[in-house]
Amino acid sequence: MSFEEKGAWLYLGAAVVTYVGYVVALLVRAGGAPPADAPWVSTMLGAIAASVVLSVVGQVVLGVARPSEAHQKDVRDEEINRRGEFVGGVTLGVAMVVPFALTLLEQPHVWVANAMYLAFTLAAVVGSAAKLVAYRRGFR
Amino acid sequence: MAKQTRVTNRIRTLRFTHDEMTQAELARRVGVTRQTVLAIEQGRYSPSLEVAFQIAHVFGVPLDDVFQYPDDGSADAPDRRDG
Repeated sequence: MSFEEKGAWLYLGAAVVTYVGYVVALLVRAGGAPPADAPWVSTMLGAIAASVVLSVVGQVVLGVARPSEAHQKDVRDEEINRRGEFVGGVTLGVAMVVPFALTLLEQPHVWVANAMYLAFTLAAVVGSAAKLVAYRRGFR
Repeated sequence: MAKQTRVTNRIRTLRFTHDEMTQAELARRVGVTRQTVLAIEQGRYSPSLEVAFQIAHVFGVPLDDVFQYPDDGSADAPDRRDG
């Protein structure tokens, strides 16, 4: 498995783990009350920060574990990365329709922010999955 | 099932006939990762024209000794050019 493929797995894992962690933390902090009444802002910011830290630390750990691979990025990696970013970008564009609609309908900030966070997570997951499919199944 | 390209190649045979060159060695000489050489060999990735020429140069053979494309008769079709 190439360094770039490991990076795609890492990014996918970080996005999923932190989003699931966010939902669980929100439900716990709500303590049986509606999640919208929980302190969602600090929970969401913490999840986003954790996602960034996980990705960066993971990349550093991968680079330290296999320093010889860390700077080996070739034309195939670049093409696969471009495809993944395109798929992720399209996903983000489509998913952002929901928070946009919520804003137009003047819904509470909690729902708009959560719809945006979910859209970013979906884009990360779908984009990373597209890269991994290209690595595993082939890319023309 | 892997998505196969229609481009076939003889890289594995050529490696064998060139002192059993390893994928890692070929990758180093072409300037790509070993995983990319593996993907090309298995038909999971069509290399760029530049990488294809570099691979042919490593083996010291013409490009079509390394890569082949199935002849489906379209080669006989006349060129379509503007004007």
